[in-house]
Amino acid sequence: MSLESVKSKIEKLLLLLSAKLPEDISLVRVISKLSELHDSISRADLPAIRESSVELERVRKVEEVLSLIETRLKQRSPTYVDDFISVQPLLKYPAKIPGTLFESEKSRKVVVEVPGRKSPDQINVDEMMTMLFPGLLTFRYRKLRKVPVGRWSPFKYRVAPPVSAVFVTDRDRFDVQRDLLPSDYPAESSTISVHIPLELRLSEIGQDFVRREDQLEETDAEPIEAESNLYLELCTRCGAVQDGDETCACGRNFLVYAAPPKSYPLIWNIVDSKENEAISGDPVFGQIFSEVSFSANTTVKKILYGFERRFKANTWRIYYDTLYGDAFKADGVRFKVSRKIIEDLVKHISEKDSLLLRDLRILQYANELHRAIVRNKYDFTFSQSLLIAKALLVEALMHGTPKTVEDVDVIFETAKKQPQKLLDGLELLKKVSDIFVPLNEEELGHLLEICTSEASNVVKEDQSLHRFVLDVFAHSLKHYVLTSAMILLGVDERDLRSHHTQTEDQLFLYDNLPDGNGCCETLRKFAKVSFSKRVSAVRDALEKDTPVTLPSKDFFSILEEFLVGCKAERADSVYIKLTRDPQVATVIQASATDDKVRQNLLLRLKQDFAFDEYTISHLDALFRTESHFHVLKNLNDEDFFIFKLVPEALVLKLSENDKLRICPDTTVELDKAVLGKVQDALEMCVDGCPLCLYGSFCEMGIFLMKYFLSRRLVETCYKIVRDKFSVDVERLPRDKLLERSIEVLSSSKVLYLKASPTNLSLLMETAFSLLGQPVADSKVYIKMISFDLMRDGYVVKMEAD
Amino acid sequence: MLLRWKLTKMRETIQVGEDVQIYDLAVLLGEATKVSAGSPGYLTIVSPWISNVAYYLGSSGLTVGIPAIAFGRRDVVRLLDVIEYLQQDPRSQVRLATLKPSPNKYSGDVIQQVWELRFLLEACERGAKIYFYSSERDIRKIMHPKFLLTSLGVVFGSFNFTKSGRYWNIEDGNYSSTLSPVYFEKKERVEDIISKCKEATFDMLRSLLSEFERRT
Repeated sequence: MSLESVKSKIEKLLLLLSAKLPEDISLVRVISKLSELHDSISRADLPAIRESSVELERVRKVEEVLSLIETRLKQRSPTYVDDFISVQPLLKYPAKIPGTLFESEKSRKVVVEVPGRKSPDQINVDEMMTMLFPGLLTFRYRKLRKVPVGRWSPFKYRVAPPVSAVFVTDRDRFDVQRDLLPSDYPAESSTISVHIPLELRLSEIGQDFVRREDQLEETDAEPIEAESNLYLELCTRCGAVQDGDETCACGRNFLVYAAPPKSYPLIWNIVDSKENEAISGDPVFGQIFSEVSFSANTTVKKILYGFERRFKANTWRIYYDTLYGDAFKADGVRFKVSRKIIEDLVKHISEKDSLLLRDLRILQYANELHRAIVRNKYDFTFSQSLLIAKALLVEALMHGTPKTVEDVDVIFETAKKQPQKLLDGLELLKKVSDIFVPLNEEELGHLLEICTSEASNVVKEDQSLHRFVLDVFAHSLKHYVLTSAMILLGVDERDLRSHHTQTEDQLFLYDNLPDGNGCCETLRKFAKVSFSKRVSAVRDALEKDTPVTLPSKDFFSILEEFLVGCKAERADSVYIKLTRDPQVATVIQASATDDKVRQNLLLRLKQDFAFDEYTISHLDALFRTESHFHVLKNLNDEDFFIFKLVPEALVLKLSENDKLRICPDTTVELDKAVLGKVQDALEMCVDGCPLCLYGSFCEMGIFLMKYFLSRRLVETCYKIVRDKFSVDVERLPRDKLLERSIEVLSSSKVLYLKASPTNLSLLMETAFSLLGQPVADSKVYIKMISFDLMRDGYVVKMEAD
Repeated sequence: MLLRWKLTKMRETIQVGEDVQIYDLAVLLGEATKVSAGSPGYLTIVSPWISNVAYYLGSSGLTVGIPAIAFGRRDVVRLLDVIEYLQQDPRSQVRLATLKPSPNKYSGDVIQQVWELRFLLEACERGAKIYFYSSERDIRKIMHPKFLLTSLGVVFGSFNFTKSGRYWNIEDGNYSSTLSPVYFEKKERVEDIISKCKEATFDMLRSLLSEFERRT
C-alpha cells in the first residue's frame, strides 16, 4: 500500500468519525491521533525512507558476514563436515558424524535422534552398534573430543543393553538357534530373537552414561572398582576430555570423570550360501582349500552380542541379554578347508615340530582354563583367567622351559595337586607387575582343583588337539584370506567381512552391504589371472591407448606373498641371527652408542648380503636400541612364543647386571621398568608374530582372537604344500633335475626350484630350460624369482598356465 | 645333459607369439638376478630397428622378490633400466646391434630416427656397446634378423625390438634355452653378425644425433 492511499484512507476515516462525534465524545482522542498521523505522513520524505531501508539491508548483510567470520574463527579450521555439524546445538552425548554422504542407499539405516536437532540423522547398523560403545572411535559432532562411556562394573559379565535407547519392533527381528551363536555366549533358551534396530535415541544413552564425581562419591562403589579408576577432567559444556595434551576452548569448569575404558563391540556372523559357482583355482591353494566358490546368494546374519572392554591392561568380555543385529543377502566367496591338509598338518607338527605343538598346547590350556572358569561362574575377566595360566607358567619357567606337549601337560596337571605353585607364581608376578586376583588362597585352591581338572580333561580328550589345531588354523587362515582380499581390492573391513564356520571348516568373505557392493564379484574375477589373460590385457591396453586395468598381483599371489612372511620379520630374524654370533654381537653392543661402528657394520652387511634399504634402516633402528640386545641375548630362538606370553618370567630370569644395563637410569621399581623394555624387545616380528593379522571386526573379539591365532601354524601348512612341489637343485643329480621338474609340473602344474647362492647358475639354467615347455595342454612360465637369505635362498616358482 | 634333454622329450625350441613380452622379461630379469648375485650379465640384442622398449612388469604376472633389484618393484621397466643394472658389474657385456642410422631408415620419419639415436646414446652412456650394420657393396642388402640373446636363453624371430614388434604386430618367433643345441647355433649367428658390424663410439652417436636433430 502506498503512502498516498494511506493518507486518503485516513481522510475518509476522519470524515466518518467527525460525523459520529456528537454520538460519542471519546472519539475526539482517536480523531486527534489520526490527524497527527496524517500530518506525519504528509511530512514524510519518501526518497530518504527508501534510502535508509536499503542502508539497513546492507548493515544486516555486513552483520551476517561478521557473524560468519566470527563462527569460522571460533571453529578455527572449518571443513565441510564441521560446517554441517556447527548448526547443531551443544551436545553432551556421544555422537558420531553420520556417514550418509558416502554411503550406499542400499544399506539399512537406523534413525538417530540427536537431542536439540530438528531432524534426525541416519546411520547404518554397524555404526549404530559402535555408537553404543564409544571408546573405539573418537566421537565427534562438533569439535574433536573424547567421550567417557560411563558406569560399568568389571565384575559383571552379563548386562542389559541400553534398551530404552534403541527402538525395535516385533516384526523386524529374526530368530537364531543357540548352537549357532558363539560357544561362550550365555544363552538362556534354545532359540533367541535378534532385533533389527530402527531407531537410536542418543539422549537416553547419554543419561545412562553420565557419571559425575559427586555422584561417584555418594554411591557405595565397590572399593576395588574405585581403586581401578583413573580420573580425567571433562568439560561440562562440550564433553571434551582433557588428558594432558588436549583441551577445549569452552572456558568452563572441568568435572573430574572416571576414565573411559576402551570398548569394542562383539559382532557374530552366521553366514551360508547357495548356488555356488567354482572360482578358477590355484595349484598351491588347491591343496589347502578343497573348494573355492562364489555365490550371489549368500545370506548374512550379523549379531551384536556384547562387547569387550580394555582398561589399564585388563580386558573384560561382557554379554548382552538383548541381541541386536541385521540380516541381508549379498555376494560372497566360500573357501572350504581341505580335510586332508588338516590331517597332514597335525601329522607333520606331531612328528616334526614339537615346539609348535608345545605352543599350541599352551594356547589350548589358556583357552580351556578360561572356559572352565567362566563355566564355574567365577566371574573372572579373560585377563584374570590368563593370569592364572601365566602364574603357573612363570613358576614352571623358573625351573626350566617346557620343550614338549608333555612338559606343558605336567605344568597344568600338577597345579591342581600343588596349589602352592600357583601362589608362588602369583607372588613372582607381583614382583614385576601390578596384578589383582579377587580370590583368597583357599578360593584359589578350589578354583585350581575344579577348573584345571576340567581344562585338563578337555585337553586330554581324544581328537582334542586335532580339533583345536583345526579351529586355530581355520581362524588364522580366515585372517589371511580377508587381509589379502582387502589388499587386492583396496577396501577395508567396512566393505568386506569374513566369517569362519567352526563345525564345517568353511571360511566366508562377504560384501558388507545388502545385495552386494562388488567386492566379492571383483575378487572372483581376479582370484587367479592367467598369463594369457595378462598378455592380452597389455596388448589391448596399448592398442586402445588405455591403462592396463589388471591388478599387478591376483588374489592367490597376494595370499602366497603374505604366507611367505613380511619384510619386518626377515629384518628382525637377521638381527636375532647376528646377535647369536659372538664376534658380531660385540660389534652390535658397541654400535648402540658409537655411530661410526654402527655405520661400518651396516655398510658391511649391505655389501656382504645385498640387503635393501628397508632392511638396513630396520637394522639401524634395532642396533641403536641397546636394551634389545641385552634382553634378546638371554633368550633362545625357540622360546620367543612362551616369553611373549609371559614376559615377566624373562625379567625374573635376568641378572641384576643385565637389568641395570637394560635400564641404566632407573633407580626405583627397576623390575617394572625392565618389564617395559622386555615387552618392547619381544615385539619382534619373529616366531610367527601375528600382529599384521589382527582385524577390527573379528568375530572372536579383539582380545580373545590373539589367543586363537597362529601364524606359524598357517606358515607350516604352506610349507608342507610347497615342499610337495619343490625341487632342490642341489639334492638331485644334474641329469635327473629336468626329469623330476617335468614330473612335478605335469602332476601339479606348479614347481618351486630352489638353491643356495652357490648354485644359482644351475638353478637358473634349469628354470630357463623349463620356460615355455609344454606340459599337458599348458605352457610353463616363470611366476616368481626370489631370494631370502634367512630361508630357502634362491627360489624360482614356475607354473603351467 | 643333451641326452637327458632328449629323454625327457623337451622341446629344443619353444613357439613364441604374443607372449614374447613374457619371455623377454623373464630372460632380462634372469640376467639381472645373476648380476645381483655377483656374476656378470650378458645381453646382446640384434634388431634392425630398436627402441627403449617398456615392459609392463606389474601387469605381467611375474614377480621379482630380490631386494637388490630395485627396478623389480616398478610397474613399468624399460630396457635402459635393465642395461643400467647389468652394467653395475664392470665385467658385464651389453651389446646392441642395429642398422646404421639413415634418413630413410624409418621410411623418411626423421623423428623416429632421432628417438632411436637418443636411446642408443643413453645406452652407450650406461656402458653398452653399440654396433651398426651397413652393407658395403650391395646397398639393397640390409640386416634383418632379430635376436635377444642372454646367458640363459635366446628369443629370436620376426619381432623387432620396438613397441610395434613386441606388442603390436602379428609376429612369430622362438625361444631356446642354453640346454638346447639351437641356442648355440643362434649364438654363433649373433657373433657372426656382430663381427660384420662396426662399433659406434659415444662421439659418433652424439654427432649423428646432432645431425638428425638439425634435420628435424
